[in-house]
Formats: sequence, C-alpha cells, structure tokens
Amino acid sequence: MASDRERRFRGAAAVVGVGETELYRRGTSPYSAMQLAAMAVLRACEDADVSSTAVDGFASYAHDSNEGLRVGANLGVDEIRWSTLVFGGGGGGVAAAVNAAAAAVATGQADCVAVYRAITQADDGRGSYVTHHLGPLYTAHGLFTAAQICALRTQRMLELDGVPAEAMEAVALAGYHHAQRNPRAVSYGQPLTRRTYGDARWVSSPLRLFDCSRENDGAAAVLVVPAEHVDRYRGRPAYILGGVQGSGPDWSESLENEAAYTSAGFHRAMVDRLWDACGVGPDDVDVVQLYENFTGPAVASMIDFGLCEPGPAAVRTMNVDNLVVDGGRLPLNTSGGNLAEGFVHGINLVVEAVRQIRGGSPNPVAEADVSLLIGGPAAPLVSATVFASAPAT
Amino acid sequence: MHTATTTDLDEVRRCAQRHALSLSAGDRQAVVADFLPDRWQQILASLDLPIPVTDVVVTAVRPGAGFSVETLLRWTGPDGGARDVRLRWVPYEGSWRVQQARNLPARLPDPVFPEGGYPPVEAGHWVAMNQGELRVQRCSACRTWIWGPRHLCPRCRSFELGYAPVAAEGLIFAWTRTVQPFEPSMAGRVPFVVALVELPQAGGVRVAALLEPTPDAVTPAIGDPVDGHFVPFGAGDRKILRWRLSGRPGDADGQTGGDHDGQ
Ligand SMILES: [Zn+2]
Repeated sequence: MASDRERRFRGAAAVVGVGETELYRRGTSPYSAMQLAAMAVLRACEDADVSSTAVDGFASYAHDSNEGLRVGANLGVDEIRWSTLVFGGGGGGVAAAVNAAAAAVATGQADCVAVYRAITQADDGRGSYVTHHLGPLYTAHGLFTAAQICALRTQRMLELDGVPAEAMEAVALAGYHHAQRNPRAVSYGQPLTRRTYGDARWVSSPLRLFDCSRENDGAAAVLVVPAEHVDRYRGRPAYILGGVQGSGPDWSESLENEAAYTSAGFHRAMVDRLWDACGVGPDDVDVVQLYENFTGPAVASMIDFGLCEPGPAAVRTMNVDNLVVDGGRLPLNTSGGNLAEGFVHGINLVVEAVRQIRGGSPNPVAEADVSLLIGGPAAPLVSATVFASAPAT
Repeated sequence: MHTATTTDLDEVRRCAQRHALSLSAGDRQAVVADFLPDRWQQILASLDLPIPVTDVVVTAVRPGAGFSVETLLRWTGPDGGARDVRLRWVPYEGSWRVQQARNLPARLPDPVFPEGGYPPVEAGHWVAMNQGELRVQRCSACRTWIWGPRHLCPRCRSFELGYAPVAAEGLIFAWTRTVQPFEPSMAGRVPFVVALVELPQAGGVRVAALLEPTPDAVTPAIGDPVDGHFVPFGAGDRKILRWRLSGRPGDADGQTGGDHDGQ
C-alpha cells in the first residue's frame, strides 16, 4: 500500500516542455556540450511557452560535465534555487534525475527545473558512459567496456534462465521500426531486417552489432513544474505519478558478484514500491521507453518489472509484432530508442516518454494514459518514472 | 557437413594471391574490397601487422569450417619481422570475401593497469597475484568472504579486513567471447574469452579472468569446472591469473578456426 507521503507525491509534479538538439554522429557536433545543454533547455522553454530566465532549477546525472550552476549562468536565468547531480550509475540515473526534480518542485524548493543531459565526444571523451567504473580488477583481465559486462550477464540470462535470444532481437527490431517514422533518428531510412541483425558482426558474445547502442553527440531537456502551475504553460502536461531509484542488496560495488546477476537491478521491493506509489500496475502501462544500452539487459528490465514473462516464455511479450505501435499490445521505444534514434545517455527516452502523453511522438500510441520510463539497466544505480495524462488514476 | 571443393580452393588461392599483391602495393581500396563490407574496419583493427608491409606471401590454402576456405599469409615488415595471419574466406556475391582474420599463434591480451596502478584497498590481491597466489578479501571478525573489495565488512561492520588465500578452482558462472578490439592494445589479441568463475571454497565469490585455451578452440558452458594458473607478463616479474577448463590440454594455439562464427 502506498504511504500518505507517496500519495501526496503522486501527480504533484508534471513535465510541461521538452527540447532536443540534433543528434550528431559522435565527435561531429559543431557545438560544445554546454551549448547543446543550453540549446535543449531553450527549446524546452519554447515548447512550454515560458521565458528561459524563469528556469530556477537544474538536474542531471552520470557525471554530466555541464554543472547546473554553469548551465544556469550561461542561460542568464534570474535565479538558481536548486540543482543536483544524481550519483554515478551511468544511464541508470536518468529517471532518478526526473524524480529528484519532481521532489524539488513538489516541496517548493524550486518552481521550474530543467532535467538535462548533454554529451559531446570533444568535451567528454570517448566512453564517457562508463567513466569511473572499470578498475584494474576488470582491465587486467581484458574487460574494458560496459558491453563486455552486459555480455556476461546476458550470456547467463540466455544460457541458464533460458530467455530466448529472439527477445533481444525484438528490442532492436522494434526500435528500428519506430525510427523509420522519426526523421531525427540516426537510423531513419535504414530499416533493420532480421537477417541483417543476425548476420551482423560480434561485439562480445552474445551481443552483436545491433544489440549495442552507439554514442552520439547531443542533448535534451525537459521542464518539471509543480502540478498546480501547469496552467501557466502551453500544452498538455505529463504528470509524474511516481518514480524510484536505487540499488538492491548486494548490488552496487559488487564486481560481478551481484546476488541477482541476471536481473537488470530493479529488485522486487523497488518495483512493488513504484506500482504502489503510482497506483497503477504493469497491466496499466500503455507504452514503455526502455533504456537499451544493450538489448540483453533491456530484456532483463522488462522481466524485472513484470512486463514480460521470465525464462523461455519471455518471447510471448518480447516479439516485434507485440512491441510496435502498429497493432502491438505494448509499444516500446516509439522514437527508436537508444539503439535506433540515438544515444545521449538515455535522455531522449525521457522526452519520448513525455511526448506519448503530451503529444508530438513520431509514433503516438492512441489514448496513452500511462507512459513508463525505465532507466539504464545493469548499472550500479537503476531508476524508473511513470508519466500519466492525469495527476491520479 | 559441407567442405570446400578443389574448385573453391583454387578460387580462393587466386583471391588470396591478388590480396597479397594489393597489400604489398599498399592499395588500400583493393585491400578493403576483399573483406565483407561490414567487417573490414573491425578486422583491420583486430590485427597486429608490420607497418609498412614490405612483402606478403600466401603460405597455405585449406578447407575451413562449413563453406569457408582458410588461407595463411605471412606479412613481412622492413625490419624483417614477420606476422602470420589466417584469413577465413566465405562465398559472397559470386566471389569470395574475408569474414574473419587472426594473428597466429593466438595470444591473449596483456593485463592493463590504470596509471597509478591499483587502489590501496586491492593491494593484498595484487601482491599475492604477482607471487602466483589467488587471494580475496575476507573479514577477520566474522570470516565472511568479500568480493569486490570493501572498506569495512558489510555483514558485521568490522574494519579488520584481510586477504586470505583460496584455491584457484571453481565453476564458470558466466562468460563472453570478445571480438571487438576495444583498445589499441587488443590488436592481434582478439577474440578472447573472459570467464566469471564462482569459487566454492571462498563462499561462492566470483572472480573474472581470461580463459584458456583460446580464442577459437573453446566454447565454454556455464557450470564447467576450471583451474587457475598464473602466467608471467610485462618484464616477467609479474603474474596474472588465467582460467583453464579442467581436464583439457592447454592449446591448440589457434591454428584451427573452430566452427563458431566469431568473426
Ligand atoms: Zn565481518
């Protein structure tokens, strides 16, 4: 049962504006990461029809090199009342940053918080996604990348839990399918067939090329405001029903010794807490934006959330027909996702989760009322947010 | 099972000889065109080759797994240093293209330590490793095995932690065959298999290390028993743990291609 505090938080904040920059091939942005961050916030303000000087809070995650105070100074805002950076966890922190902003505006710490993430290879270097993670206990043994870590976990999920590899393929195919209607997507005009997916070169087994996201230069931002202020802004608000972040027992700092090794990290108590706090369950979810650093951990997230059967039956849900907006029961990654739209540490998934409620998605789900955002899986920190068309369901 | 015909071998021999000529002539466009179109970047980055190359000769042509044909090439550099490379050719649009390439003999990546070495909390592990012994962290108060290293015991909150020796024997808990050369130092050293191994004699903690034999001769399974041994690296005064499947001979230097398609 949701506590009184959770019920008070339910629908107390909403997103009233979204902004994205172009997605550039990594290393090719003509703008600095700071310029991209500011550009994304300016576009979100334009979407909300509010002056950018009114933004009074800033939140990001994953070692974003563009500190909130500097973003605010560059934008020339009137006042900065609140800012924060979610600790570690890479893309696992994306929904946590939204949740933190919601908590700030719900408790009067700020009135208009920009949640943003901006990356360029020129400013952040290659592999900025796993900075600070892989020490010598990994690199002395050939492990340098998140891809290899996620490959180890995925191999066990396939080999021991019996999850079919087709479930991973479905994540990739659904993203690429949706990206064909999204001119902003890096894979727009490049549909992915099962044959191309299966023939692609290995990265680290069981992950092949199209199981892995590609880094882009870019930025995106959303504006989080108190629910009682939504009439001051243009357009339909996407209410935040609730959110969770965290790390289960024996999860972080575990050097591949996590107790639930094939889980994405969304342990049972965390998932139950999310549904209770939001007053909805997995059957109420109309559309999912699922962080796919790699397809394997993305499937593990779906299993963790009870959105998909564990083990061999996973393909009952995780098949491409079921995951596309055209006739699928659970449309997933409707702008293309990290794999097919582009990868700026998952921030574009937030924008799309909001657009499914607010309007403007390249693949709108008819009458979507509950839009789930699942942050980076298999990271030391994981997080999720539920957006909805109404402050309570 | 399909095996390459004499005609296949003749065709591939001609392709390989033309490839060698293109290489010697430094005709990059022609060289790239001999690879499967989506593979050439990964393959070239994964090879350790003399630069510039002064001579390339085809030293062998033989049937490979399935429809493939394998050729051995010897690359020579200006200093006379030679590298042997095995190319696997597959049928492609009426001709043959290279799907996979390997430096021979197969070598595994050397350990890489960040500048500044290892964090102090890991010292007990690495000092023992250099002496050919596996040690993992253990709480002196409640005897709990702890991995990765912590600053206090998460079970009893004792600050008295030590490193205890443990037999390097265990069971494969997870594994991956890495093909992409993520680091420049991996050139000539991919693919390789990393095994995460559960140690029953240390409370079931899991320790990752490279698995031998490698790279193509083995496809492990979760639950397979492995033994650890310690191989010298660098100037030879340091050692690193490698896992090896129990009861299997130690390589198989990668001469045969195996039939997984680990390009
Ligand atoms: Zn203890």
